[in-house]
Amino acid sequence: MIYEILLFLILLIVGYISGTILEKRHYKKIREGEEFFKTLPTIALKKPLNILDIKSTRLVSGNVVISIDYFKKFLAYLINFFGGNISSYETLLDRARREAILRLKEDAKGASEIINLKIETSSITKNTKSVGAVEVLVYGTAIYR
Amino acid sequence: MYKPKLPDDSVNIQKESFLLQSVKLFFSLAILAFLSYMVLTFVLHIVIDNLSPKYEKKLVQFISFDMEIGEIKSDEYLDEITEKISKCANLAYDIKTYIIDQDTPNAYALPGGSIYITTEMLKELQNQNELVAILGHEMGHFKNRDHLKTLGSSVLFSLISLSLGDGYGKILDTTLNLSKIRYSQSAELKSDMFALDVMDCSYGSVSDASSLFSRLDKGDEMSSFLETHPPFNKRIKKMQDYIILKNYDTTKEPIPFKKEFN
Amino acid sequence: MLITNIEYVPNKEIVEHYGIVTGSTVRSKHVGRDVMAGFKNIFGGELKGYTELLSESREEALDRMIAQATSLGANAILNVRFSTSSVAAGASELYVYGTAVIIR
Repeated sequence: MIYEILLFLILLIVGYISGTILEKRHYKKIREGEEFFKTLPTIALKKPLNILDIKSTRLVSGNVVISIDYFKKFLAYLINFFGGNISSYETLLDRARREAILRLKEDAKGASEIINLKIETSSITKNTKSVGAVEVLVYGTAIYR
Repeated sequence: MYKPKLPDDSVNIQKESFLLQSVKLFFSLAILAFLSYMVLTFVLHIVIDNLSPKYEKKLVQFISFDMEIGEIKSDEYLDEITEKISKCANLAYDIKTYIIDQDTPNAYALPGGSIYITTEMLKELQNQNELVAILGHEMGHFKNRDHLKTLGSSVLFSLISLSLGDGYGKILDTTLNLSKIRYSQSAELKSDMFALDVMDCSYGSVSDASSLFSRLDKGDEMSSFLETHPPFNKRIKKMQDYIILKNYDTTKEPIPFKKEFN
Repeated sequence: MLITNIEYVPNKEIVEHYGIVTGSTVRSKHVGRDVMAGFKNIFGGELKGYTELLSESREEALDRMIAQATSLGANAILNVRFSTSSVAAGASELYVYGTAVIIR
């Protein structure tokens, strides 16, 4: 019985430390990427910003799968008792979404804009109870001038 | 005209640190579980203290117990002794003592008013006084309704464990278990005092009340006597303090057994 | 084969139009499959193996849709949409659909 508690604590601490480090690193990389791709307009509208001089169009996409860590899962369990936003999963989805959009922009290298942006999210579960990881797929049409 | 600008990216995540939030929630949950356990235990004890032994006997017929018992035997001599001390114990129960075949020395008080004593325990006992000490102790449990309280407490645990969900339920379970052990130990000491009262009332002497414990205290591997029971030396000490307090006699010779048990 | 998720192709005209074409793949979602993913669930971070697996599934679904359009004689698929749904315990289907047309 005491070993179970010990193992739980170790996993919790390891999960917290590695999760926090990986998340900080990831956000830094995301912010740099977003700064870099700032000049490539990506919109959800169906019409391009400028309908002239269009050479070609292409379907582009980006996807990513981000996993939860042990600490975040425990926090989600605690929140489940009292209700409210499951804040630990929020960062997961935020990161996944932004990363997928960055990959979309990388796929569309050389394009002048990306229109009709669509986002698809699905969860990858270890068992029917808890969330193991989340997948975000982003796609749109790249316009080349 | 497209103007490249990055939006505020912190709107989708919370400002409060996860660590702080988890600590707050964990303690709230722990306190909640602990309080509900305290309240429910309190209610449970009140209900049990007001449950008549007659009703208890009726209920027993509906519940079966998880015990690996071999043959159950009764013995005339044992019944004789039980009846004699029952008068002193003055319980509302109709106590019956049975012998069961087990290779560990033990005695059990079961719901309904039965005491089971193991063959190994009977072998260990050296005289009638020691037997009366054991029987009196078990009767003490009946007086306090301990056997029902431990039963109810286990059910309570399962309930709380269940509502906490698997995996994590076990962790809070362990902490609750500790309080269960505390209660159990104090109940054991109380029973020891009751045994002394019964011995004094039946024989006018408490000689050899704790001699069995002294013998068993040689670091014997009796797992059923650890944890839920206080250590032997503590029990012996408490008994001796009580004997001095009540000024019980320890000088009379202990009564030997009249015959061998079946 | 031109693929796009908008309803038209700039500077081109839709000459013929064949209706919906689809492609789908069903993949197993069990994280338990991948031993590394099991550990990753403690540490967090990206499941690169899974990302690649899902990229490949997507490519395959697209290929199937393109094959269907080609068999009809189309040269473009417009208004493409992706969809994911849970089919059975631990399995999900990636489904892509669009309108097959000839553009000139």
